[in-house]
Amino acid sequence: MLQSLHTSRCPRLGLLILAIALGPPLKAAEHDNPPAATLVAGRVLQPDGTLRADTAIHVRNGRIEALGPAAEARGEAVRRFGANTVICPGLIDLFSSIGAVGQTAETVSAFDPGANAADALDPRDPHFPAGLRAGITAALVAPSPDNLVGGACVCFRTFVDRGRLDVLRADGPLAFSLGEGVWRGDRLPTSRAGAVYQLRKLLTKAERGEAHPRVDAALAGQLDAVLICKTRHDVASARQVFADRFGRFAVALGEDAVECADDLGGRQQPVVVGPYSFTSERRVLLGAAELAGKGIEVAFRGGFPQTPPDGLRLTAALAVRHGLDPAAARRALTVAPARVAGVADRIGMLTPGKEADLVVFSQDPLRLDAAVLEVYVKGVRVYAADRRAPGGKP
Amino acid sequence: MGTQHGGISETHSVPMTKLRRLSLPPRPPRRRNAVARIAALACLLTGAPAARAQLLQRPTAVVNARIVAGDGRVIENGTLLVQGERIAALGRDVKVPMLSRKIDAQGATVTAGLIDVWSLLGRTGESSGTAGPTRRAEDAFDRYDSAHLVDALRHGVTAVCLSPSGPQGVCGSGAVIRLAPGSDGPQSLGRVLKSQAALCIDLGSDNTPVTRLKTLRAVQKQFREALQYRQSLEQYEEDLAEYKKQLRERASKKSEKEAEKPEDKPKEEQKSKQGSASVPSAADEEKPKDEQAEKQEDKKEETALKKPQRPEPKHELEILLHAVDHELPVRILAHRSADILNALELARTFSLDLILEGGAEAHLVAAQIADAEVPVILGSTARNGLRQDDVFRRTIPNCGTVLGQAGVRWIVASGAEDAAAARFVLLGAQLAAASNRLNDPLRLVTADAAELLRVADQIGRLRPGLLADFVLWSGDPLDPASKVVRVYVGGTPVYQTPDEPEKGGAE
Repeated sequence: MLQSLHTSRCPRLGLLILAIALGPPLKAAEHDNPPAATLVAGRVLQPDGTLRADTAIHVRNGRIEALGPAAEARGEAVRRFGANTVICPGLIDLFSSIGAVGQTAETVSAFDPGANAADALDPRDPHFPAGLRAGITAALVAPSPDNLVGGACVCFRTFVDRGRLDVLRADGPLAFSLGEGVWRGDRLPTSRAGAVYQLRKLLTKAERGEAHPRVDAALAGQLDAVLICKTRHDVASARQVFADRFGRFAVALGEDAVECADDLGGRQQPVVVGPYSFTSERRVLLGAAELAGKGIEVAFRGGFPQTPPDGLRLTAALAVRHGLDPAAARRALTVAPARVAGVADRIGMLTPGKEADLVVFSQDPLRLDAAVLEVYVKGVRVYAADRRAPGGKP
Repeated sequence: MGTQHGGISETHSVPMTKLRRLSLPPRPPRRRNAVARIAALACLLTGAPAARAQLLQRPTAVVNARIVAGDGRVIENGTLLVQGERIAALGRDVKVPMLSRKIDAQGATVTAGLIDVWSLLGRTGESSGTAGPTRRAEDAFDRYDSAHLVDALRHGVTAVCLSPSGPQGVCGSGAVIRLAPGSDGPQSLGRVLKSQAALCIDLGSDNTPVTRLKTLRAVQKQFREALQYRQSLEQYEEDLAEYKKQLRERASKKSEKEAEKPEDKPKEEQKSKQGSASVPSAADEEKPKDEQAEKQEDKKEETALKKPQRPEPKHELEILLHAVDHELPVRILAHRSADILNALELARTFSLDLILEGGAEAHLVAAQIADAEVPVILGSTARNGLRQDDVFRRTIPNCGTVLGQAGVRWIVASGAEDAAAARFVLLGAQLAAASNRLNDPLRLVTADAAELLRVADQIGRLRPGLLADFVLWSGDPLDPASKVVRVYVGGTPVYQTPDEPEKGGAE
C-alpha cells in the first residue's frame, strides 16, 4: 500500500495522509498462486493508443512480465484469440458511483478535505460484476461535487474477491468542486462570488500551512487533485482563483468542453469529459476532439451505473465519430483515467511490470459491435463470455 | 484535386468534347454555346420545374466504390449508376453513359441509407391535447428543423418511421419519411414515402397499474366501437339495398298497373305518382271501389318504405378498421411483461398485425411473443433502471439473444426517446450486435428495417429499381473513425462533408 502513495514526495506528509486516510490498511485479496500465462491476440493496445499486431503478452505472478513476438509464444499456457481480437488494459471508469451507498460527501460544510469516498462503498453491489463483464476493471469514485473541497477519491478494482474490495488507492486525488450545487441557500457559500472568496481564503491559509494537511499538500503540488467544474463559468472562476496552480489539476468537465478548451490548455494532467449518450447535443460531442486539438489529454467518464456499462465505450465511440483521434480515444479509456486516478504506475498500460488487468475484445474496443471475450484481473481470468451462445436471428 | 485531400472528387465525363478537341479541326466553341443556349431556352420555355429537371437530368455514376448492396453482396471497385431518383444499375462492369455526372468514390464504401424504424426525428411541439386515431405523425414533422435533420444525414440516416407520440391509448398513424429535399428547395427536408404506415398505440408502461389498465380498456373499447361501427355500416348497406329493391319492385308494379289503366286518365296518373303526400280528391271518390282499395294499399306500402339513415361517419374509427383488415400494422409500445401480454391478447382478439415497440421486459415473455409471431423493435437508447419502480429495471443487454433463441424477429431503433437519438441508430445496432452476437448490425438498420416497414420495394438495399438513397462512407461504416462523406436521397445530393473541397459541378 505504501507504494501506492508514491506521489507523496514528502514522507512525513505521506505517513500522515496514510494515517488519516487508511486506518488499518486494506490488504488486496490474494489470488491463489496466479499461474503464468501467455496471451496472443490479433492486436495489442500500446500505451500510445495505437494497436500493434503479432504481439504476445507474458503474464507471471499477476504482472505483465514481457511483451514479445507472437510467433515465439509456445507452450501449454498460451491462449490464442482470433485475428480481429484486441487485448486492451482493463477499462477505468472515472467519477462513477459504482458501489457507492448513500452520499459520498458531507452536505453541511462546504469544506470537507478529510472525508474519504472509500468509506461509502459496498463490495456486494451487483453493479460490480456488470461493470466487469463490460471490460471495466477499475473505477474511481469521487465525493459528490457539492463541496468546495470534497475529500479524497477512491480507486478500486471492480473484481470483488470473497466480499473484499480491492482498493488500488484509498487516498485518491483530492476533489475540489465549483458549480451549481456548491453554492446553496442553507450554508456558505451561497453564490459564485462567495465560493470564489471562500477558496481565496483557503489558499491564503494554505500558503501559511494552516489549512488541512491534504489541502496544503494538494496546493503545494505534493498530492494530486482534481477539479470538478460544471460549466465554462466554473472553469473561468477556477482559473482565476488557482492561477498558476490551475495547470496542475486534472479537470472534470460538464458539457462545455468546446467553450473552455482554450482555458484548459498547457496542462500535464488529463481533462475528463462525458458521459456522452445518443441524446447528447452535437456541441457536447465535439468537446473531446476540441480538447485534443489543443494538445490536452482526454479521459472519459462513462456514467455507470446511471447509464449502462457500455456507456464508457459509447462515449469513446461518439467522441471518435465527432473527430477525436482513435488512438487518443483508446488512451482516454485506459492510461489517461489511470493518470487521473493516480494509479498509472500499476494499471492502465500494457507494459512490463504493470499489474495484469486485461480485457480481450472481439474487435477494436472503439467499435461498439466489439464484445468482451475475456477479462483478466492480476493475471487471473475472472470472466469469459459464453462463446457457444448462438446469436439472435433478426 | 480530390486525391490531394484524400476526399472524393467529382469529374464530369464529357468524352465527346475531349475527342473533338483531340481531332482537328476543333469545333468552334461558339457553336457549343449556341447549343447550350438553345437547350437552356427550351428549358425555360417549358416552364414547369419538373420538366426542366427532367431535361437537364444526367445520370449520376459513383465509380471506384466499395458497394455494400445489403443482400450480402459486397462489390469491390464497383459502379453505382443512378438515373432520375432511382438506381439504374450497380456492379463491376456497369457501363457509364456519356454525359453522366461521375463521382470518383476513391474506394469509399457505399451503403443504402440508414433507416430508423421508431423515431422522433423532426418532431415538433409537445404531445398534448387529446389522443386521437386521426392524428398523423407526418403532420408534426418539422421539415425546416435542419439542426436535427442535417445531423441525421451527417450520420447516414436517410429515412425514419415517425411515431405520433401522444397521450396514452391509440395515438394515431405513423409515417415513413425520407430526408429528400422538399418541393420548396434545399432548406427543407422530408418527403413522405408512406403515410399511414402503422397504427400506433401506447399502453403507457410508465404509469401505475390502474392507469395502464384504464388505457388498455379504452383501446379495447375503441376497437369494439370500430367493429360496431362497421356492423352499423354493413346494416345500412343491407337496408339500403333492400330499400332500393323495394323501390324497384314497386316501380315495376306501378308500370304494370299503368299499362292496364285506360289511357285517357292522365290526371289520375299524375296524382298516383305523387304518392302518400297526395290528398284524396273528388276524382278518387268517383272511382270504382276496387280501384280505390288498391290505391290505399299502395299508399300504406309507401309509408312503410323509408329510406335508411346513413350512420354518422366516424373517421377516428375508420383507421382502426384498416388495422383490423390488415391494411396496416399495429404498433404497440409496451415495456412491461404484463403490457406485452395485454398487447398480444389485444392483437389476438381483433386479429391485428402486431409489431411490439419497446420491450424492456420482452425477454421474460419471449415464448409468448414467438407463439404470436410478432416482431419486436428494441430501443437502442439503452437505459439502466436503478429505481425499483423503473420500467427498465429488468432490462438485459442480451434481450435480442433471448428473443432470437425463442424465434422472435427483432430489430433496433432509436426508440422515440428524443429527436436527436435517431442519428445514432447504427451505433445502437452495433451495441445490440455486440451483446447479442450478431454479425451484421448494418443490416438491422437498412434491409431489415425496410422489410419491417413494408417498404423493402422502395428503400433499404442497393438494387436496380429502388430509390437511390445511399451514403458514401470514408471507411467501414461500423468503424467510428469513418465519416459520412456524402449522402444522396432520391439521387439528389443532400449532404456533403464540409471539409471536402467544393467541386465545380457539385450541386
